[in-house]
Amino acid sequence: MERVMMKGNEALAEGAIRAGCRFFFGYPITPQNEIPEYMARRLPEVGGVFLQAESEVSAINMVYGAGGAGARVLTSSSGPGISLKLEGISYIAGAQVPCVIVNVARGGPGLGGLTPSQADYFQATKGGGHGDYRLLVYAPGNAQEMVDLMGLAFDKAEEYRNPVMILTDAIMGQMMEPVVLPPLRTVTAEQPWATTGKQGRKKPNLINSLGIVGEELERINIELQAKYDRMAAAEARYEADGTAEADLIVVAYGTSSRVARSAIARLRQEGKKVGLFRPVTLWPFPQAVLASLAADGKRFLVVEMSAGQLVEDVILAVNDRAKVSFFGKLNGTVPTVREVYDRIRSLLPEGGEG
Amino acid sequence: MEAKRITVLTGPFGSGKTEVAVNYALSLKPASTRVGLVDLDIVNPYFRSRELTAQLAKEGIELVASQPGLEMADLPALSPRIFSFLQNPDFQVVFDVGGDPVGARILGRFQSYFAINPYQLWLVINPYRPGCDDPAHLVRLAREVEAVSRLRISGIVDNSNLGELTDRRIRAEGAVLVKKAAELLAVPVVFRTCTNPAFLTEDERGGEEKVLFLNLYMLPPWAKG
Repeated sequence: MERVMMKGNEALAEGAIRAGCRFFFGYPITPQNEIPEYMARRLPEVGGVFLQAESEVSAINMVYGAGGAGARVLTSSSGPGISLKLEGISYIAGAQVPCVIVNVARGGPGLGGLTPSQADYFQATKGGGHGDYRLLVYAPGNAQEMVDLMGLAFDKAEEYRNPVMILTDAIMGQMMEPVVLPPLRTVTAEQPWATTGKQGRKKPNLINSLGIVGEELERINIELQAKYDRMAAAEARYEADGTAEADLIVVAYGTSSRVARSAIARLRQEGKKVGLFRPVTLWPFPQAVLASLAADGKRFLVVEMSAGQLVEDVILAVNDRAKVSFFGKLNGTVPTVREVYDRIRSLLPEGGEG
Repeated sequence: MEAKRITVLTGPFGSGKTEVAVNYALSLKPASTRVGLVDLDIVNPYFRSRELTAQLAKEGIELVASQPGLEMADLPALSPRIFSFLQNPDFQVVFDVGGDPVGARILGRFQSYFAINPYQLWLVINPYRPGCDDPAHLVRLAREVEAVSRLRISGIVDNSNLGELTDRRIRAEGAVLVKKAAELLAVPVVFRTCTNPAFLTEDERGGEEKVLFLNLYMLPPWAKG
């Protein structure tokens, strides 16, 4: 079949296989269990290794090892499990090891619940773990993007030698949509920096995040920051739908962007000029585009399934040049199309026709 | 549509069993005094018929899932009310079972009821799901479902669809693969699903093939009001 119906979680898993991922280490947690389930069946078919670790901490350190040997490696979890993995993620970022980490977010804090949430935005984009590190963070907007961004995630992880996170949520992971799968890619695990034996070199390759000697740690951090600057300059991605002519622009990603899009479609039928700005990378945040829209006199509404996290990046980008309103639903609730529609209407100028 | 007192809908993970189960239960209502729908999915708590409890009650369908309040608890717990459906001969019962053999295993629990009540076990197939375009794979899966449930599959439901991209061609091409699997299993295709009368084949229009029209209930939040 040219097109297949896939759950978001399955699309992520098959997307990884097609991108040449041959290693998966993880530990079960709802709502991402379809990913390890899929990988457990699929990886042996392509000569890969699936291993269910005894904990998230073990899993992320196995990822560290496989990534350090230059392999394309994936792990996935949901909020509580990602929290456990953060120590390892900081080590992986510090040691500049490529890997891809999926968070299919559920409601928190703590053990929380199984309903969808976008309250892990800070954790994904602002560190979460210790130290000055950054993850490249992708937020897919549909099942096709789950496949496509997964392929891109592996390429970018390798290009920058940096962990890449895909942040999605329970609804996006569980819903089903038609997707077109790319061909299976063959990739080589041979990286000049990888720990695969000296192979005639005088000095061994080392994978290490320790910088205890002299000014070593400062040198490491300067190198990291220079890399993050390059990523910030080159990797921001977004979708802008009708933003140029809009009076009001809704900023949202993932599930809330889908709800916003439905609400916006209704408003446009009524002649209202409403746009959608959807960051595809949450870090680097597509700041410059938002800043220039703000300078054009647009007004913004941020819709999130959280108490307000993405909205902070929007306010930073807009930097007092425009008014930013916020509509958030707390953990476990998805805003309805009607709620978003009503909220947008209340912000539009009275009788404001097109 | 033939209706034995107990209908069990099983099939590969994500083949659309819940959507079919809800619509099939609704189709039984006009001719039946009481219709009970059992949400027996212990695999996954998302996009479940339990979300529709109130809506179905208005239509006269009694739905049994988990304990009220525990719908999202991810617990493999069954309600004792399932037995009241099975023991009361006034009920037409529709079982919406979790996907794959792992989801069908739970049916063994009700073995004694299936032994003394007429039942039909149908495999819901969407050949546009990964791997489900291979009839040999579907036959293997069907045999595993039969082994763990200790029941016999008596029919296939053709749920060929590509979501919003479904059209006449998608249904027609899907039907070929589903029919092949049905032939290998030596069971009939009991009906085909359809969301739009414009997609029907000539045989379906002429009443030669049975069709169950689906009203879609299992929609993501952005497709609801």
